[in-house]
Amino acid sequence: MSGDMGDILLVFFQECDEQLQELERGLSALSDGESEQETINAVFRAVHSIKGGAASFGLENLVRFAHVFESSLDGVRSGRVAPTQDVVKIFLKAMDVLSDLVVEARDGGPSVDPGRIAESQIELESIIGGNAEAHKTDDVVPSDFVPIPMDFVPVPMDFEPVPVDFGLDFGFDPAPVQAPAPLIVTFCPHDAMYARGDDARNILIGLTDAAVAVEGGEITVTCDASALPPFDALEPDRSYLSWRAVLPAEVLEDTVQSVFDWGGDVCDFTISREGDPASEGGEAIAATDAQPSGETPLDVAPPEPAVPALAETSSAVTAAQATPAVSRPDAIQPAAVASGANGANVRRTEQATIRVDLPRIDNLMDLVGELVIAQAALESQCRRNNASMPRELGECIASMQSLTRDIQDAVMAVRAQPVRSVFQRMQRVVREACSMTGKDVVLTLEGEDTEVDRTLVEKLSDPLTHMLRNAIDHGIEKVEDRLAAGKPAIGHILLSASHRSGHILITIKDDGGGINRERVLATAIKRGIIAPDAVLTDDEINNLIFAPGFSTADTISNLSGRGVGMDVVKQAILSLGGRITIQSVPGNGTVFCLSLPLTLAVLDGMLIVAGGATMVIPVSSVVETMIIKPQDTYVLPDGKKMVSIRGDCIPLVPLGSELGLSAAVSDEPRDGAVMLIVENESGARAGLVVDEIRDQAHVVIKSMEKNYRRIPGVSAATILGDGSVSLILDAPALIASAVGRINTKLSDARAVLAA
Amino acid sequence: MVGKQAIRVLTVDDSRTMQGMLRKALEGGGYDVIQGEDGVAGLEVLQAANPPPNAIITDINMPRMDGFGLIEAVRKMDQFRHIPIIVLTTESGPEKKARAREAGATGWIVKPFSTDSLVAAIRRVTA
Repeated sequence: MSGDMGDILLVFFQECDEQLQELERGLSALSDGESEQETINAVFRAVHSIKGGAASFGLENLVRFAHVFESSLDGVRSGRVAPTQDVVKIFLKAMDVLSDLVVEARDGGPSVDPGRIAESQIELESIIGGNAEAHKTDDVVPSDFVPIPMDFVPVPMDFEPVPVDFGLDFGFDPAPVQAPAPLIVTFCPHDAMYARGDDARNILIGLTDAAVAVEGGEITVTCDASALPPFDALEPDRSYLSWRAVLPAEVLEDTVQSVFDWGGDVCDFTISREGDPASEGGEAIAATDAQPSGETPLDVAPPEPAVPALAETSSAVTAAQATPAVSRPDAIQPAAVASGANGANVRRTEQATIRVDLPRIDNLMDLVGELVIAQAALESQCRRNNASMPRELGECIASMQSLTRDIQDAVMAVRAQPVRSVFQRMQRVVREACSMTGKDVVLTLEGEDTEVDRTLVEKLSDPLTHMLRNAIDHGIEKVEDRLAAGKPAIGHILLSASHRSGHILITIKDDGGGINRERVLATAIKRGIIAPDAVLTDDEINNLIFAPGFSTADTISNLSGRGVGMDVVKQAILSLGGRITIQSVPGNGTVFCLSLPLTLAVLDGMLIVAGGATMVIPVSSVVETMIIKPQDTYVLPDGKKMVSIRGDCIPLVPLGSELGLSAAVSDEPRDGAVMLIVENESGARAGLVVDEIRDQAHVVIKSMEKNYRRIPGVSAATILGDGSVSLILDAPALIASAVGRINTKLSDARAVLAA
Repeated sequence: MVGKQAIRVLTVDDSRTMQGMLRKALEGGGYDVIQGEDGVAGLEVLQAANPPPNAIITDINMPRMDGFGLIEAVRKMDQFRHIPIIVLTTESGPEKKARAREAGATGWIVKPFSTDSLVAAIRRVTA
């Protein structure tokens, strides 16, 4: 049992996370000025669901806060309060508190600062004006509710009578104040009561329960069928009967009242003590005492209201015993069929989604990786005996190849997740950073639907957090400075994601002051990161902020100024196989571009030979291939070569010697050598001179760093179809080194530091 | 009460937590439980159910179709015109009750509910 509840609790916390995301999405939409009723409803529902679940588990703190939150949201939902920016801001803050409370409930970790909760609570209450609700909150979880029960605990409802209790609980209340005479209850259901699926029978059951709750209690029920018309005039949907029940004296009026809680409005009823003049209708009922008792064969008559069978006159017949005689066709038929099916668990709820454990998907992905390798091996075996390979075999292999590719795509699609979840989390990061720095910054999200491999989604969170904090702490200027510079007081950061040639491109663009290169340079020299006489390009200076141990903050702020942030960011992005670039215009802001591979598992590669080694270059980075014409090549004074392609000059990289594979061989591009034009994400190009283009292949990426160490110009390794290991080239790194910039010099600078 | 094992209850709630609790409480009480995650799904499950349920427990606040919508739709179906429908809600305002009654709800249970109160409510309408 408790195991079950544990599972349900887990589901609850999972659901809380989903609801919080839903809440964040809705509130973001509201803060963007959207005011669709459905959005407001969704927001309300999210908080409402959390509250409902939390109450079931006795998570008091959570319930209390959720209740206040919900009340305020209800103000917006009902249109009493307009969702202005200020109101939405309060909601966002409350959402942060709520999500911390969820974490507190789940992990039992450090509790949320009560001051913060109270503050948010007061803000929430101020929205709907006054704290009329404040007192109510205390009752949301009854004071005697056992906290975190692992099983259900009967809950006495303080803030709402539990209409279903039929006095079961109340029956054991302290002895009735006075217990003079038996309690007489009369009632006459309206037609409407039956239209609502209720039934006189149900009330009789309730009364019986109330009666038997008293020790030795019995109920006497009589039915008044005097209003019953002749059979041929009988309308099956009408109600003709009224009832009189005598309950033990110990039963409280309130208990009986609660029996009529549900149907009281569609049923005339009286509750009185015997001998009380209010006991009207008593005469009418007395007259019916002569009604014949017993079962009637009228069970088949559609609704049962008119069935006279219920005229129970014998004393001490409990309603519960009487009811089996009452049966509606729609009640009895399913019962019969169900027993035939023996309660077979027939629940065919159509589900749009299923939940799968992550390791299973990872395992599937690994298997697909192996399948790709095995497939390539098979193919290469068959190719080896090229001449003898029957055409059919070739076709089989071709179709298998395309199937393998489809499977791979399908698995990738399963793993793909929109970056939305991590992007939305950033709103909170920004809010918190703003409140810590006292700056006002709006974060705009773009391309949240861009899908990336889920491992990437998770790993993006930390770097993005660092970068956004950094942007707010160091990038966005103080309000006075902004106004002085003629900028709007509110800072703006754009976080966007998009796909670009097999990569996902994430940009963080702020409209702050840009990188202060003089200060960066001075700091770098002061910290000994670069030599005092170093001459660096703007780009190189920008990139100094990624150097280990670099921090530009004059005073280390508790937000981002630990001086490890950007270095850690760069390492994290590199380890994901991505890269990071900076563009900064003083006074106008800074743009960070993260380029990440779509997947960490498989890529489409071009098999090339250079310096005698077979290597793989991602097809996504190859723009075109061509044969070099000698008349198009030029030699620069430093011996580097350029090639002119349709008027554009790009550096020529002899791949073999660049990688140190064929240093001895003259790297003079032979006449008719093959050149691959590669491009990085910022559009820079270079021509890689290779010996031969061999094939195109789907290769499984195996990390070099994990198994060996990082090699400049090489991003990973793979296993080819023939079983040989081959390197996967890092085209952008090759371009960068060819263009003679950034990375090499920066790593030189680092080498200096390390020395 | 031989038939008790066969009594089938449809629960409609968009919260998986709540669905889990309802299932546990009701199955513990010997009921056969079928479930839908919102009004639209609830109607689909109801129509596809064989045997049909003997009672419905529904949440009010749900996406796509809320509890009121579900009740109104069920009451329009000849076969289920008289099926007991219990509304399950944390909202306790009298106007909510009135609205539920108007839509044709038989009764309501307030969350958080205890197993006893839930089973008692179902027993009251399906006994």
